[in-house]
Amino acid sequence: MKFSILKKATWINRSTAQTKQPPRQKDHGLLDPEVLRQIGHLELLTQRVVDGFLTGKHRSTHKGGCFEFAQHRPYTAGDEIRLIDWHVFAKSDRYYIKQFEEETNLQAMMVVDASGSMNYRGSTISKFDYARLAAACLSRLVLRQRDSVGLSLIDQSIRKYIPPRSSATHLRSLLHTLLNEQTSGMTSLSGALHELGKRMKRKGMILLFSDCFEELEPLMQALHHLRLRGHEILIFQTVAPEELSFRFDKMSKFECLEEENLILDVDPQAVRKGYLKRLNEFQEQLQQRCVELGCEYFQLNTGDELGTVLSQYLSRRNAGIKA
Amino acid sequence: MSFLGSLFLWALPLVAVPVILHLLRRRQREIVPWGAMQFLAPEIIHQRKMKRIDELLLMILRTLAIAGIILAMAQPMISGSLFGFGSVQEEVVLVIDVSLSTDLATKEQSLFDELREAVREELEELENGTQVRLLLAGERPEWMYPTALELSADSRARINEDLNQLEPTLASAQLGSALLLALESKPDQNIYLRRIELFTDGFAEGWEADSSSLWQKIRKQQEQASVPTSIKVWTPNKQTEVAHTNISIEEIRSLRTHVALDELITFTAVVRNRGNQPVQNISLDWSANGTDIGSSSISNIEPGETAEVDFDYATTEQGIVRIECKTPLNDELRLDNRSERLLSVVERIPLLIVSRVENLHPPKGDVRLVLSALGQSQLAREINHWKSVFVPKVISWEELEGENLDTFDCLLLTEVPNVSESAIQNLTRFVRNGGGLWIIPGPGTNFDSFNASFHRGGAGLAPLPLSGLRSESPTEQPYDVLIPPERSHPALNIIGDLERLDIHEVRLTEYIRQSAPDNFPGNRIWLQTASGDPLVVENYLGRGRVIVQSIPLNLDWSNLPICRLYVAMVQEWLLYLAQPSASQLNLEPGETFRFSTTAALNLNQLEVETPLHQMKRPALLNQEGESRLFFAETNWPGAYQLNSIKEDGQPELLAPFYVARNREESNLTPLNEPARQHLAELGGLQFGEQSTTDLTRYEQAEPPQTPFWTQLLMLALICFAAEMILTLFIARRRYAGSLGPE
Repeated sequence: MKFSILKKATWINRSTAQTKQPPRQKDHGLLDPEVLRQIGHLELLTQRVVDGFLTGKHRSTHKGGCFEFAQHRPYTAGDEIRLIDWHVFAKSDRYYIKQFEEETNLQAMMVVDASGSMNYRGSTISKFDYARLAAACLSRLVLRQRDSVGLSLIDQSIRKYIPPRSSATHLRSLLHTLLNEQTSGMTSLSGALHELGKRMKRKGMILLFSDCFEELEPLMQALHHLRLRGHEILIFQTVAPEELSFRFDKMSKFECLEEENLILDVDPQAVRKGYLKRLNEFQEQLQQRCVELGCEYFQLNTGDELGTVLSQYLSRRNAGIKA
Repeated sequence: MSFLGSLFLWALPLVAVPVILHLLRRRQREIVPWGAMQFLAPEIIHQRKMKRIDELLLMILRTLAIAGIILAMAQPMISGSLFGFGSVQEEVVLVIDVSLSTDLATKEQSLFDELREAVREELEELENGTQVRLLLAGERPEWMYPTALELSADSRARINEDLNQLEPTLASAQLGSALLLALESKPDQNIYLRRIELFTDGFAEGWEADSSSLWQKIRKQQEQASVPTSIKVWTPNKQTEVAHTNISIEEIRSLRTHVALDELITFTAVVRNRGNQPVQNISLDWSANGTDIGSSSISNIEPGETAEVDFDYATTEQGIVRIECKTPLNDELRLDNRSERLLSVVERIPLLIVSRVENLHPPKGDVRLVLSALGQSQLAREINHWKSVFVPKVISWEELEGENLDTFDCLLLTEVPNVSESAIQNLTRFVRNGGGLWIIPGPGTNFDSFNASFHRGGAGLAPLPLSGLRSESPTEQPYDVLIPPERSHPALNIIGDLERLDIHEVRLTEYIRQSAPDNFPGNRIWLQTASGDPLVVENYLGRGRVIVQSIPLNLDWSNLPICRLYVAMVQEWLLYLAQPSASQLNLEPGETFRFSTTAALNLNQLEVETPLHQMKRPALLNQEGESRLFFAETNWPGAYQLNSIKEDGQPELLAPFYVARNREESNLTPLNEPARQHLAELGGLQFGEQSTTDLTRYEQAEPPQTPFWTQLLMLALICFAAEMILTLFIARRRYAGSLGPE
């Protein structure tokens, strides 16, 4: 369980006052024109076959009469009569069924961590803002390539679930949901991902926007579960630069964003070394385990320009797939 | 605990400053909303524990340092028992009167035995571990032991043994001084109660009850003593004014103690009846060095009366002779029934006569007349006439510089010419070392030269300057006469005897005037003319004496040499001048004993035995082949002996000397009740049993308070040092953390 060690440490000073709700962010258009300009010419492609009902850029698991010829096979009892290739029958007097490779659309699921820890903002915008910006931009990208996209906002469970759709109006509902949700509560990524796996019937692509700051093993189990269901998983670990460098000087009170009344007196100079050591160990393990599970890991630093980051990522990814 | 500078305690609230700063610092910390707690928490658990301890420690150290400085400035005094500076201890100072009057014989035993028994009983009552000091009250108080003794079986045995050997002395107890010394003695650090117990005979002598300042000083010392002190006085059972006889031989007098062999000396015993009963038929036995030399008697002395008995004796042995006078009367106080006087008996006294060379062979003028007075004239030698003790040597002024003056006891300078500076320096040194100098300027003496060499504006040998001849100022009188001198001066006692001698017959037709300022002491003018001119004037220089006689022994100037007093005058004055060269054997208490010998002495082999039978070491100065010995611890009256320890360890008597006693100590007037009350009020003394209030005050006394600010300052410094070290340690730990990967 996340922060179990803190819960056991009863001596930690917990203020009785209610943790102040961070001020509501100024609403802004999630679809940043600058970001869209930078990634507009790119595509988000899957590396695997996906289940879909519409025609699209992705190879479908279904074969049938559609666009691209695949092969002939002898007619067997039960096959539909309309699928018999009469031209072959005329030539060879045998019944053959004509099979085609089906092209279908991608089902992409934007999973955005809306737990308290994503509210950390430091010197930049908050991680949650950064994540939903990225999710929005990528959603539009997916829809624009006529794939379907859904949204899951998770904390301890799935708070909001919008099934994937490919209609143009669907983007508005996604953006509306993303805009009107705020971070709160503790994170249980593993639980939420298990639940998500059950909900997603079709194989698709899961884009997880989270800081992933929770215990590693349950998270890996959840990812493994999704992978077994055939989903392609892209992990966008969203972190703030302060979280990576821990550049604080003064003695401060560190107030937990997820657990109320958990406040620690911290001498940053004294704890920095230990903190960075733990963080780096965690990051290394996270990346290594993601690779082992076949997930794709990418770090989003809120200090970086989102458009540039996504652009570079998508370019590199597309190049790798086409190659 | 008390504070000498309590004003500084107002600064104590400053102690709260580190606490307030500590709390403020905690409150003013910035709040950082944080998500990645999982990486922070384990570090915090460790760091927080350390941090809280560090901060707490720093706050405590700073608080302690400030508190230490403030308290140190307030100068706290703390009770000794707070930190267990040893067990509670009491010091008892036993002051024992060993004066002459304690020898008073009562029915069964002497008063001193009773007093000693009381001291023993007191010692038995004291518990082991008590610090005890013993002080003997005499002319000057003297500690029996240099330090306090802690009572134990061994120390008790030692004290008892020493008490057994203790005897009454000839001293007069100065009880006030003894109590002052007891009060001034600094007790050990672990002592916080002190009792001074004075064991005395109860006579008024020695109390100085009329000296209010002394007893007020004692009271003040008692009140200001570092430890609560009580003074208790033990006296024997109340003495009533009973009839008692007490004859006291106060002293033996003689004109000189430096005498010639076979010279007839008159000793005068001063006998006083100090009792309250008349005493008849008192016999006085005289002895010289323990040998009976005769006796004298007094028919009757009434109480309070004094009788003087003369006894003539010519010593037949050379050296130091102890003349003792005692009465066999069996009165109540026997220690004062005897007295003694020491004489230094010499066979010959070397004398140097310096004159003009034409007066020497054959002797003429002053030289001839002086030699005649000493029985050394040609005629006297031929008929084997009487010869004086003086062995004269006659030299000319020219030979003076080459002469060793140290071999002579006195010098006679006649017809003084111009004298060289070196000769004057030799003469000055001779006088300073105890020699006697008789200067007789003659007709040929240049006054200015004499004044420049001998007077030196008052700093020279001659006390007065010569101003001119009598004949230089017109006078109607053909001659001048001498005013008979007072006989109180030892040198003038005989020549002032107008019945036997004829000083009134002296006619002076000429003499040299000496100018005496108005403030010149009269007792130093021995002879004065009727017209008021000093004729013979005495001067003291160092240990020696100088007389300047401004009339030569010339029959043209006076008839002095043919008067009856002339021979006596020359003899007496020369003997008087020779006195300082001999050791002073009869001293007053506190007077320094001086002894010179040509024998080589080793200080380690010299010791002086005091009347208390203590052995003390004198001071020794070896100079110019002469050993000079000094002993200043002559506070106790009685017989002293200067001994030289021989190689076999046996003492050899070098010289005895005697310190006179206080005659009033023989007075046995008891200290009456009003005087006791007066002393109790003024000096805070407790006669008899201590009062209940005094005992309560004494028992409720708290251990002495000792200053504590040094320790507090040390504590503050240590706290500062610890704070700095801790700060350094914390900083090092903090910044060590910042060196990690970024």
